[in-house]
Parts: sequence; structure tokens; C-alpha cells
Amino acid sequence: MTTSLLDVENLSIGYHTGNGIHLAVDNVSFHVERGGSLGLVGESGCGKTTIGMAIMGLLPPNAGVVSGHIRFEGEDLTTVDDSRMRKIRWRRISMIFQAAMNALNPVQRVQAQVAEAIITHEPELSRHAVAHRTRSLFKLVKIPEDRLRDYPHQFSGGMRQRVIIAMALACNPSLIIADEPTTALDVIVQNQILKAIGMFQKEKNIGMIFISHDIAVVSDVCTHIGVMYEGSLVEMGRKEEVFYCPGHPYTRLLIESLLTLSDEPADLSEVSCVIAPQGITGDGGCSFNETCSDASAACRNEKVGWVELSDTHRVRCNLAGKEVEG
Amino acid sequence: MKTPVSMLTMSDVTKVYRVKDSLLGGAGRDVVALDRFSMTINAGEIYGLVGESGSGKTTVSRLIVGLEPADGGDIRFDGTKVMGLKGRRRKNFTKQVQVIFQDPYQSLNTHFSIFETVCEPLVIHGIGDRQFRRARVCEILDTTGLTPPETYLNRYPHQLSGGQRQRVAIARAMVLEPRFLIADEPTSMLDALISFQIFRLLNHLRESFGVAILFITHSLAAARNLCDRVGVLYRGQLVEQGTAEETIMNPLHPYTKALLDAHPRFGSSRQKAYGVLRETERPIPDVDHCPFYPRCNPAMDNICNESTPTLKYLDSGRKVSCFLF
Repeated sequence: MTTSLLDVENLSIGYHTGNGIHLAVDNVSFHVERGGSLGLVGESGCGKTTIGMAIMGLLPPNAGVVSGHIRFEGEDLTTVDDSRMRKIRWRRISMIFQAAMNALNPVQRVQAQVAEAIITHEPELSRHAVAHRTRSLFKLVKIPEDRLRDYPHQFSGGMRQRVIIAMALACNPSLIIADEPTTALDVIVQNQILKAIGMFQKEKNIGMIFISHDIAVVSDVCTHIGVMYEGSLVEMGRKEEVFYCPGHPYTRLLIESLLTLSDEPADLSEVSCVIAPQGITGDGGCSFNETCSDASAACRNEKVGWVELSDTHRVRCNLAGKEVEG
Repeated sequence: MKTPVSMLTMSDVTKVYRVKDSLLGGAGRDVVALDRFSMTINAGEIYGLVGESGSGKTTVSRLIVGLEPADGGDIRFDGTKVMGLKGRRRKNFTKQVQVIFQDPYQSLNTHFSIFETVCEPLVIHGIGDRQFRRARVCEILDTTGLTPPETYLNRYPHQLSGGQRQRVAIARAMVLEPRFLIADEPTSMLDALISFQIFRLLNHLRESFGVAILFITHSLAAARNLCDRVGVLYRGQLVEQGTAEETIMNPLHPYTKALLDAHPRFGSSRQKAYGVLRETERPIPDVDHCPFYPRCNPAMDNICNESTPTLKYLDSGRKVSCFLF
């Protein structure tokens, strides 16, 4: 067996609702290498964040892992107890939460907030060591030293997001989960933050799961891409493979709908009335069949399996590889 | 092509927000949200206003519809001053100018059904009887892609997805058949796929009803694909304006170039970077200076840091506010 940094195997996560268990993540498998980066792309509600939360052991009380394993450095995170999880969380796996920059304590200096993250998780460190590490973290995320004693309200959105990144890196984790870290920021700041994330990720050889709904952003930072739809992973492969020969109709739709700065503007002339599908089919059929233009009766009723397009590229579509689209 | 008929003109519009300094008194600080901003939107065109957050894009839309008064300058719609409109004339103006807001999760009243939401403008303007209104609401829901419309009438916003809600917001704006629509970042809360559909819908509305649209966005890619002309706004000043094609394929102002550099690379045929953004910002000079000077790499000392550039008209019909041209 390979010793990946993170191995997620057949993971299913359900939310308990009034009508029984609702599967938010359905039989998802992927792995992340040390120093590798995986981008999870999909629309809102497809289960991206739920996976991140499950890895962090932070699922809400009404949710739970139904089946499958999350192996992190050989240890199964679905079976460890809370106290062990607390040791792993932040020291070994940390997370950049969505819009976390708004969660900074407004009445505490940013320096103290980052130091607190270090002290909480590594209480054995001396005050001097904590201060030293805080300074080097701020240097890494390019916040000038004279701003360390500022309060969050004196920082712009991008600067606050840098503080959050510094905090996520505070205990030298080997895996970092970035959940839409740039969604609330505008393009120039987003680009700077993405560069910062890419840099420390390579420099410190950290594994990364980058969660985003923007396939273009993911392509900028990640080496591998997983596309999620309605709780299932539908396509997985190296960035170039997924982008230049997408195998799943949903991935194709995502890439086609991406507005780019290319020479030819996209065709906006016809009105599309695609209505969002009505939840997981549940009978084993492909969950995308309602939107897919090529769907046949088989797609509705038969179980979809993975089709390997190459060693690193797999697609969960019965039609993949069978016909070449024009 | 016909000569363009200007519909909305803003000339030298200035808006200053006064920020109260602290509870303990002390001098307040002035924040200039718009600085002598001028823009013309022609009938039936889609004009894209691009800029980063805080550049004053939303202020433009708020001033046009009169949610706030301008501190200087002139805003005219069909030649009539917008500021100070009252009574019937004001109502007639609001009938022609409608807004779609950024966040469809907040802009819809959660206690109103979709029918009530879309019908409300008709009620306010006293248009039609019950039967007519119902037919009109169904018609516009159908146009905006909420089909079949009857199934949506009695639903509430919480039963709809983000994209559906934004379609409801668009239906509400279009129900009065306005001539001018302001779309303030209508897709920033939505997924790429849904955004694409909303863009298509806006384009469809323009083509079928001839409505002019002011499209406010921070995405140059969206502006490139949807708009006829774009204006780039930086710290309250219009720094560049031209056709979407020209401005994005061949930008002039360093800030426009910086925006293009920051755009995710995928799918772009343009590989080279302009590299106009400085790694470390220059200190802000005390005297009047170009607003982009602290972040601008090609800026010229002794010129850019000592006076403010004005908008120059180039031969090609483009406008740029930069000393380099």
C-alpha cells in the first residue's frame, strides 16, 4: 500500500434530518501526497466543505461518517477519540476557513492572535520561541514587521486573510485544508493570496486540499483536481488532464461556462433554462442524468462505475471513453 | 449602425462620505468615494463598470437611483436631472430604472411569496388588475427561465436555490419593462455555471427588450463576454474607458493591466504578464498625485506623484487617465 499523506477511502458522510439520513458525501476516495495539492471543485452544496470538516474532525453534531476511512499518516481519523484528534488538529492538519478573516478577534492585536494559536497547541514552547516563530510567520505571508501590533480593523481584507494563513501555518502542519480562502476578495488581492499559498505550500512541502467553486482559481494553485457533483466525486486527475480532456459531462459544462479572457468571447446568445437537479437519485443511477444531454436510460438506472482514462485520470461516467465528442 | 442615443449621463459626479472619527469627538475624515466621475450609457448597450472592492462601483449605482444624494456634479436620465425628482416624475423615473442587487439571499423579502415579490412593483405603480398582474408575473417568470411559472408563484425564497433567487430578483426588476437596468455584481454569490446562465439571461433581456444595462463587476472576464463598453474605476476615478474588446485585449492604463495580470491564467491565450504592480507600495505623497501612483511600477517620479492626471480622449475613441499617454 502506498503511504500517502492522506488517504480517503470510500468516505460517505450523512446529515441526520427529519426524513432520515441525507448523504452529503457519497463514497468519495482520493489521496494527497506530501507536498501535493488537490483541488476540490463543485457547486455549492456538493459536499466539498463537508469533506474538509470531516478530515478536521469538526463535523456538526447532526452529521457523521457513515462509512469509509480517512487515513492520515497511517492513522484512521474516523476512529480516533477526541483527545487524540485535538492533538492532530492544527498541529498536523490545519484549515483556512471560508471568510475566516472576519472571525479575527477585533480587540486583540494580530500578533497575539497568531501567538495564541502556537501557545494553545504547543504549550511547551518558551515565550521567546513563540515570538520568534510569530515573526517568521508574518515574514512568510509578507506582512511588514511594524504592522504586528495592529488590530484587525486596521488591516484590509487581504491582509487579514494573510493573518489567517499565518495562523494556519503556526504549528508547521503537514496538511492544510483551504476552504474557499479567496472567495470574499477581489481579483488583485486574490492573486496575491493564491501566490502566497502556492509559495509556502511548495517551500514547506505541505500537502494541501484546496476547496473552491472556481475551477480557474483551482487551476492556478493545484497539481491535481477532483470534480464533485451532488456529493460524489465524478472526475479526478492531474490538472492538465482534467482541463484539456475533461471526461465527465459536468466537468465539460463547468469548463465551458468559465468566462475567460480568450480572443473569442463566449456565446451568450441563447437562453439556457437548465434547472438545478432535485437531489441525489439514490437508486444507483447517475446523479447527473437530469442535466446531461447524452444521458440514456442506462444512465438513469444502472450504477455508474469509474472509467480509467489514464493512470492518473479517472471519470465516473458510463459514457466516458466510449465516444469521442466533437 | 445607428448613432448611439445617450440615455444616462453622469458628469463630474463627486461623492464624499464623512467618517466620524471616534466616540470621543475629534476631526472626522473625508472618504472620497467618487471623484469627478463621468460616464455615458447609451440606449440598448451593456456598459461594464470594473474595479476592486471599495473603488466606488456600488456608489455609482446608489447615486443613479437616488438612494443617496451626490455632493457635486450632474446625473441626467433622458436629459432630465435625476437629483431632486419628486412625486409623479420621480415615480415615472423609478419605473424606467430598476436595480438587481448583489446578494439574492438578502435582497428578497423572506415573507413574500414569489408572486408577491414580483407583483409588488406592479401594485406600487398601479398597473393592471388582478388578472393582468398574474398573467404579467407568469410571463416575466417564464422569460427569466423560471418555468413553468405557475409552480413558482406560491413558493418562498427559502425554497429556491441562489440562482433561482437571482432570477426572481431579475424578474422583479424586469416586470415594469424598464429601459435601464443596474446589475450590481449579480453573480458574485453564485457558482460559475449559474453565473453563466445569469449572464445569458441578461444578454437575452437586452436583445429582446432593448434594455440598457449598467453591469457592475470585479471580473474582467465577465465584462469581456457580456459588455459592449467597459469603464475601469480606481479609488473613485475613472481611469480607462473603451470598448470591452479593446480595453481587455489591449489595455492602456497600468491598473487595467494589473487587473488582467491578476486574473486566473487558465483558458487565456495571453501568456505574458504586464508586471505593472509594485511588490511593495510606495509611500503616499502629501501633495495631489495619481491615485494609482503608490502601486504603479511604470510611474514617473516628479510627474505622477505631483499632480493628478485627467481623462484624456485618444483618437480611437478611448479614454485614459494616465500621464504615460
